[in-house]
Formats: sequence, C-alpha cells, structure tokens
Amino acid sequence: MNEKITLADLVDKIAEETGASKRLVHDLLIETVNLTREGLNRDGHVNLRGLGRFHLKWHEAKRGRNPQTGELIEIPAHSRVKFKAEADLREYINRKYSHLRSTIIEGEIEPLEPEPTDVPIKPEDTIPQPVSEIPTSIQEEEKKRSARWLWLVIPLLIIILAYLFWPSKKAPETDVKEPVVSEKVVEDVPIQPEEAKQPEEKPVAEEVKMGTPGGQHTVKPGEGLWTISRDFYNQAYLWPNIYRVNLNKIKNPDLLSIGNEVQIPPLQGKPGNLTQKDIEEIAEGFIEVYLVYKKLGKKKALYYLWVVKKWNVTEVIDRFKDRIDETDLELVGKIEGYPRIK
Amino acid sequence: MTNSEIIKNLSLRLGQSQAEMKRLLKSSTNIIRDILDKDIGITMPGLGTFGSHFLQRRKSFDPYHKKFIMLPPKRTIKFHPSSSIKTELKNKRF
Repeated sequence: MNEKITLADLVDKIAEETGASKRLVHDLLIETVNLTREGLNRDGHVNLRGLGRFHLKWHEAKRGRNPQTGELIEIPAHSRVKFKAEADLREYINRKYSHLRSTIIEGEIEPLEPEPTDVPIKPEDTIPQPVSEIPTSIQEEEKKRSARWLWLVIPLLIIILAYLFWPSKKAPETDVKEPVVSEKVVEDVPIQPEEAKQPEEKPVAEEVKMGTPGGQHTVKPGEGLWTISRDFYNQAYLWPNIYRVNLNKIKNPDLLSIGNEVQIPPLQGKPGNLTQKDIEEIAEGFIEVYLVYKKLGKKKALYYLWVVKKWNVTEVIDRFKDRIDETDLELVGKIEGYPRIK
Repeated sequence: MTNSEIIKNLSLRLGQSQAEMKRLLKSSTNIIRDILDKDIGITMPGLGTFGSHFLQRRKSFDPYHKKFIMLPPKRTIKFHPSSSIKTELKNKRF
C-alpha cells in the first residue's frame, strides 16, 4: 500500500457515484466516524455492515523494553482499538486466491529460513549492553526460568534418541514405505504455473486443484464429505449430494474411511445457478442426511430438514413422507429465516 | 452499536430518511471496498487509516494433524487507529 486517498477524494467519488450532494456525503462520513467513536465509548464495539467490526481490546500492564535504548520499561494497562474486516470483504479482496488451499508438506521438514537482511551483523562489542542495566533479581529470575526449561528438554531428548536408535523389526518397513507415498503425491498433484516459474524453490507442496465432478475419488487422510464437496463443487454445503449416491458405502456421513472410493455425482448447473433437477437431487441428499442423523440421535438432523422445507420441493418431501417424522416437519415449518445454500 | 442504530442516528442528525441513509452508507462501503481492492489506503480523520496488505505464502504448523503445512498467499485489511482515538479510549475497559 503506497498510495493513500484523502477524505475529500473519497467524498468526490461517493458523490459522483450516488448522485448525492458533496456536503451530504461529507457530513455522512464525518457523522459515521463520530458515531463509531461514540459507540466504542459506550459499548466497546461497533458493527459497520459492509466494512467490519471495531472493538476495544484490553491489555494488562506488562514489562517491555525500549527498542532504541534497550532499557526495561513498565507498560501500563491500556485499551487498543481493533478492527476485523467483514467476511464478505475478506473474500472479495482474496477472490484471486480463493482456489488455493493449504497443503500438508510431505517428506523431511526444513527449518524456516530466516529472512535475509542487508544490515551487517555487529560484533558483540559494538552492541549496546542493556543487560547490564537489568537488576540482578531479574537476571536471576531469567536464569531460573531457563534452568526449568533445561530440565524439561533433557528427558524429552533422551526419550526421542532412545526411540530413534532402539533396534526394532518395524524400522526397515517404514523406510521403504515413505518414499513410495511421497512419489505418489508428487505424481497426482500437478504443479501450479506460479510455482513452475521459480525453479530455485523446492516443490515442497503443490496447491490442490479443484476436481471435476462425475468421477470417483479416493478418500485421503484428513478429508471429509465437506472438504471433498468444496474441492469438486467449490461449494462445501452441497456435500449431502455426494452422500446421496454413496449411501451403501457410508454409514455415518461424519466418518469416512481412508482409501474408500467415493462417487461424485455431476451437476447440470453450477453452484449459485443450480437447475431444478439439481435442487431436487440435492434435496434428496439432505433428506438422506436428516434420516441418518435422526437414526444416530443427532440434533442437527432438523437443520437438514429445514433446508429442504425452505426449498419448496414438495415432490421430494412426498416421496420420503413415510420416513420423515411429521412432528419434525411441522416444527421445521415454524422456523423463520432462509438458508444460505443454493 | 449496531448498523441499524448508526443508520437511525445518521437520519436524525442529518435530517434525511433512514432509507436514504442506508443507501448512501451501503454505496460508501462498496466504494471503500473497491478502493481497498486496488491496494490504495483510505484515511478517515478522527478514526484512522485502512489499507490492504499482501501476505506471501508461508510455512506453518497444523496442530490438529500435527504436520507442517504451506499456507497460500492472501491479502488482509489493516487498520491503524488515529492518535486522537487511541488517547480517548486508552483507559476504557469493558
């Protein structure tokens, strides 16, 4: 962020866009700022829709160090104004990176490289010696603390070394298996073009690309129906659609076995622009999830029925009428609001 | 303080209808969003400065799976409160 815009420029832009007078827009912004200050003074938090939430965070008194002189100072207790951007705003500015996911790094872990600094390291003599200014009681305290850590670390190190060098039969097996897994991962996941531009960097982890529905998927460690749906449909909420076609393989939708092959049904439309047939099929999936959660005695079962009820897919509900509890249907009909799915 | 309270107070103070205030506030936040998206900071006198920052991809640790992970790059919104608001609210505790 190099450039900054002033209030006058902002007023001009808003007035031009909305057709309101500059005076009114100026007063609006100034009053919004005043109201934010008043709100923080009164409640300690202010919600501004479209932008985010301002709140006060209390910090207790603590000891710190003056970064310029190295001197120990007492920082008094104080409040700080914090701001958290709204989720929609965060998603909007990150829309270029929305397809990227965090990936588990396979193989040997290299320690994080320290950032290169242009400033040459000073010899010990030239570094200011703030330590001498610390009272002896504090020095003793710090020494005691480090001694306590040593007592914790030494037994841990002994246990780790004993585990590593203990003769066991299983050791060679693990040595053979590990490279096979890493090779497979490298083969499966294509390298992103951004990473291909940087040959000097080791391809430690590749970004997972969105899959195309209509095929089969083998469940990997850490995956669930939610994440699979997110990767294939770009919409995690549609996971009951996957559960619908895999009823025989999945007994509990919250638990998937690693290595299981899951079928991914294709969609006629796209998430956000689904066809009627898609909605009916997904509604069927939601009812199946309701039924299984009901059977397992989970309270969240009602949520899935509520979603179906709000979609007005009476034909699908009629088809399952014998299996759906009537009292649940009545109860769900009374709940207001509308689900975010579709 | 909620958004609806802000709109009510704005309409009282500026003598405009609540609907008009809601419309203006919404379009203002949309314009602010677009400015931040272009990597331009906004200074609001008496409140502070908003700006967007780019975070490179980085290594991190997933405590649930107990494995190292690579986090993708992303942009964040930063807010620096003005010195006047900082001194005003320094001793407020909720």
